[in-house]
Amino acid sequence: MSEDKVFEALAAEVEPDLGPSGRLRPAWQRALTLLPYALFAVAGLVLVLGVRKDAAALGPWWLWGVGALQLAVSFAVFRFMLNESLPGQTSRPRSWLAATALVLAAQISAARFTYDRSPVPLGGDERLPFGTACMGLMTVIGVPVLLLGMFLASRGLPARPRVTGLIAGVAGGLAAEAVYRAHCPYSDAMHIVVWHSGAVVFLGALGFFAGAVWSMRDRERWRNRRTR
Amino acid sequence: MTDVTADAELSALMVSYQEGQFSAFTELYQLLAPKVRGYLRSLTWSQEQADDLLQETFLQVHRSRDSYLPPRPVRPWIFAIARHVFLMERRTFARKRSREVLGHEGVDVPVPPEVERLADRLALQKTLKELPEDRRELLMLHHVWGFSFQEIAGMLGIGAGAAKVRAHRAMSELRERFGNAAEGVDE
Repeated sequence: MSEDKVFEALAAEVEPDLGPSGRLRPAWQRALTLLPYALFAVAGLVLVLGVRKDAAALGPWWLWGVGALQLAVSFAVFRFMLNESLPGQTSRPRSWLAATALVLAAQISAARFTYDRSPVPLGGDERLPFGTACMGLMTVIGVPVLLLGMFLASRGLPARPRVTGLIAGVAGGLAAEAVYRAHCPYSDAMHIVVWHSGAVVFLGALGFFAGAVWSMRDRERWRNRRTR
Repeated sequence: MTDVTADAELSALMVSYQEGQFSAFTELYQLLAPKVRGYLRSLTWSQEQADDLLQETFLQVHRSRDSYLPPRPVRPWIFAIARHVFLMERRTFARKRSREVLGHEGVDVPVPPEVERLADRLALQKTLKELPEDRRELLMLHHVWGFSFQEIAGMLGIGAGAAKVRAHRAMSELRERFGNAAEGVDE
């Protein structure tokens, strides 16, 4: 195809479709959509299931302040994911591994210090039912963040949708932890690492899988367009 | 025109394009298509496929134009889209392409200006083609199209340090192939 013909073909498609396109807002502004959801989720959780039973022993900082800090970390990871979904802003594997490690560190260290202030015991026969309930509820709270993240990322052009999904998932996991710690009083290491971190890892894996499906659909669309 | 001026001009054009001006699209195409075509040639080693993907690249630019955020530089944004288009094509038609003879002689791929004097253009292109794909891409992005290692890192999803190392290795390989004549080549 000659150079003129390439441009002629392009112009024929572009010109009729051309109008003001608007512009995506910067990643940090788009990531702010996470905050109203988190506030809504924490309000709903406290209204339906109640505040954690050791709230008085913890005081406002350990009850709400630490959750707000975790939400801030989740926001930063969410923003990183949205920025990474723009052309030319792809991050290196070390960065997304660091983001995942940061999320797990923010979760486990907050639980560790909270346990020092309020070591609520969890009986051996309670571990499994309480653990699965925590993991299930955290997943329910985190999935909307994952979906929101993938929707917002799809406005860009992610080079690696699986990684985008993974990061959206772990950010959603930490947002869920920030919300859920207002209800769950159990901060012992075993419970947190197995069930709460398990929920974060599960949401990350769910995001990775969603990204793989996204990639497959992208390829299918591409194949259809190129072979028609 | 300095790079800074060029970036500012391209950014202004991109903003006009986002506002719906077809003349801005035309001008962007005229300024960037030759470079993007060269890049796609260096990836596909096929003139025909590069032209085909050039068209797809600018269609994708059109669809994704709202994802350009000024005053970020336009060139890494467009080259990243070109790379995305190339990878989509390669991954989608991987099986088919593996049966084709990839690339052929006589494709006019740009060569780094620093090594132009070392041998004739055809010999340089042949040597470039023989370099490992990731190193060749790094070498071309830095030495032919003048991207910084930071920009390349964002386009390829690697660290700036890794980008520098790979480009250095590619240049070293070129040195080895052409012997002492290349010793003065800048990196």
